[in-house]
Amino acid sequence: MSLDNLILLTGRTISQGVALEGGKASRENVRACGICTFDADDFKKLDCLVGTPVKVITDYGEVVLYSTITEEGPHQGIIFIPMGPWANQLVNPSSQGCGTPTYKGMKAKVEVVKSGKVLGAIELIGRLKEA
Amino acid sequence: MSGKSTDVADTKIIIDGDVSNVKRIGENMTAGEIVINSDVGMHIGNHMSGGKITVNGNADDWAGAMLQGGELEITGDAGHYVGSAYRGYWQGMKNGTIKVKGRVGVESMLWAKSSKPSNKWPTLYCGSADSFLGIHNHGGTIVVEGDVDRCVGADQAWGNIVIKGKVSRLLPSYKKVGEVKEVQLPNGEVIKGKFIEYSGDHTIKKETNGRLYIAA
Amino acid sequence: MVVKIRTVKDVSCPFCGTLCDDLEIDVDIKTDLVVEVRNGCQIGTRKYFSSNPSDHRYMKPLIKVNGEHKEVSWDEALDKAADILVNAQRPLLYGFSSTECEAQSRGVELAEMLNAILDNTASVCHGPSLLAIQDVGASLATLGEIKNRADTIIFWGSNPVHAHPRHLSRYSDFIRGYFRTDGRNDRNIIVIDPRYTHTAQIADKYIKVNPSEDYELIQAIRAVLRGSELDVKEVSGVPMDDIKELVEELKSCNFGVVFFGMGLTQSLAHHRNVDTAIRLVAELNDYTKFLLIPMRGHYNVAGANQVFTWNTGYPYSIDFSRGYPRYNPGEFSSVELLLRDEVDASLIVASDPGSNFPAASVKNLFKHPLISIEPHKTPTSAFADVILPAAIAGIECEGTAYRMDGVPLRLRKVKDPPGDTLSDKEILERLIEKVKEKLGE
Repeated sequence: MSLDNLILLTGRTISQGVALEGGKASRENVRACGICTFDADDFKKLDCLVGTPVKVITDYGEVVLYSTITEEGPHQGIIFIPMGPWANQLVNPSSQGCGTPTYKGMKAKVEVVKSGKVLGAIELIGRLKEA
Repeated sequence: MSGKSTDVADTKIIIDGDVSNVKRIGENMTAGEIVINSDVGMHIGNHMSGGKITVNGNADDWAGAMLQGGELEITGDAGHYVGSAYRGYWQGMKNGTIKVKGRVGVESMLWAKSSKPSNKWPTLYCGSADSFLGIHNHGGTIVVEGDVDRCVGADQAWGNIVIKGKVSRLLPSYKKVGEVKEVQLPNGEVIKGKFIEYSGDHTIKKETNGRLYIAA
Repeated sequence: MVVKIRTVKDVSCPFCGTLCDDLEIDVDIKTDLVVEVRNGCQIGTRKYFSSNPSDHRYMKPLIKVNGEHKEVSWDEALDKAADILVNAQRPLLYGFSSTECEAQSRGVELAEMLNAILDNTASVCHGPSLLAIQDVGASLATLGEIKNRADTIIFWGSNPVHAHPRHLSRYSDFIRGYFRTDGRNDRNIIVIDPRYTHTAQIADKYIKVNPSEDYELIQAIRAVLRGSELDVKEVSGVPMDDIKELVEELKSCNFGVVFFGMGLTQSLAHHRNVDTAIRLVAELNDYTKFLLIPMRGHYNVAGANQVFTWNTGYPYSIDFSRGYPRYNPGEFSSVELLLRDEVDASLIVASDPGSNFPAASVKNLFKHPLISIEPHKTPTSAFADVILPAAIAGIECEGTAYRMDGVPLRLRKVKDPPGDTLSDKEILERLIEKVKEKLGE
């Protein structure tokens, strides 16, 4: 019910682009960006249905996302999260002195959380304001 | 501050108290001595051409950037770009010595440049190092007591890098030459110990004088 | 009821760096709404439709009072914004990549006046490419050149099917060119990526590289190109034989180009990945014609770099705190400044750092007063103290934008801005006036 030693990549997807133009506060944006895409074989090991919320944990943070199987596989050992507020809870802010954070290639682990809720963009970022 | 001074070389400045966010201490320094008993901010001793700076603590990024001479000693760790060229310069540290007890960050000794005719040998001694140590090296000398992260000596044209510990991932463009019992550095220093000698970086030339020594 | 429409032709699409300039937009004359978009990709089409008034479009200036956004007049909002900026010691002006060049140059003016930090979104995307170009130069070209001549096209760490949807059909793959009369059949597409992306799925050759190990692979390719026999059997998950085959393929082509994206600039090694890619391309010119082009994200991020450079000498991460521009990404770039909590107020123009910066830096962004010039509700503007509603450049106001290859194109106005919205340029001009008043100039 959990996977270790994964590598997290983030990046653009076309539905992410469409959703961000359509309104960042919308549920459409959650469906486009609040997802974690797995390799098909990796996903079998999780033993859950597609769409089950999973918690992704890196050294820099954690976030709950909907799980889904990639169309751009196979990429065993790699998980992909579209760029956006959800992915950025997990990325490495260190730029090694060059100014650009390391948005790709973090070590990550994943746990299935049956009762987890995927927050909307505003709600998720709002937690940073209160903290 | 206390005392009078007539000559720069006789001047000694001692800084106590927290200067961990003070940048550019000892910029363009030509002679004299500075002792800092604290952590220090970015650009310590950049463009320095003579004298000595001692930091009894950690230094932030760009310590000793574009060093032209003199000595910089850091007893703690140093940030990224130690003794590096500033953005867009292709000749960085040209002479002098940097000694770091602890770890140096990424891309230290970037674009270091030695000169045989004028007997200038930029040298860095450090405890351990992050990735891309000595990238674009053109004659700089680097001695590392401990371990080094990936891509050491990337695009090195010529120069010497001696590592007494391990390298996490050696570049594929480095080739093994053989084993040596001691390493003679261009500034005359001899380092004893068993080392494996590698030549590179072969991305620059098919035959190259760049050398990387890793403890056997 | 007959809908009377007005059609605007040859419109440049203000979404991605491809800046397609062949869109046709139908606007309902009576209601001034966009009713149809032709030739655009999914994302561009959506952008035009989302300019129509909706619940997430700002129509009036807003100020945060007791945690709630309250509608105010332009004068009051600008007054508050100017107050925040003038009273800040180290304000940050960030964004500028999704607006036109005239507004960007006003941003430079304002930053200089405030002794602020000026940064654009290149600092989190193609900034490393600019650093590498400053270090080792670059052999660039316009996209027209690629369309007419290129027969070998490498996409390294970029996925245009998703990020630049019409890039393949307009410039690099399917399009027929003067010397590439058979379009796709005349071109050899190579994709290098850790994932078998949709771009890779339509390519002729796919090379799977381990994540964050691109640097080693390019170094190996360069060493093989120099004629060296290497000691290793495999580099970054790619067998040595495949590397040799690739090198032969690159050497024997007529005209090659490398398009590279975030896969190189946002993974470990950042600008060094681009540095070595540029040198690979330079060295390939010993054998054949080879070029590279960065796949810029925002439609005018290249313009932001141009405008900042011709005004200050530097493309991004500029500090005016001493009254003259200083440049050092890593020291003056937004994310690093926010992580060190050096910024005490920020003005965000046409950007959404709340969504796109790492969480740790967003936390510090929200600690201090925040002004947002933004047409839509975003995770940044939702927590801003002052929101100045903007017209969307390229839809509701004119301007200039630079394509990813540095070609300037004119953005067209297809309809009037809704409500009280003003163009970014006008908002910044009014803000400059207010700031001047307060500074007593």
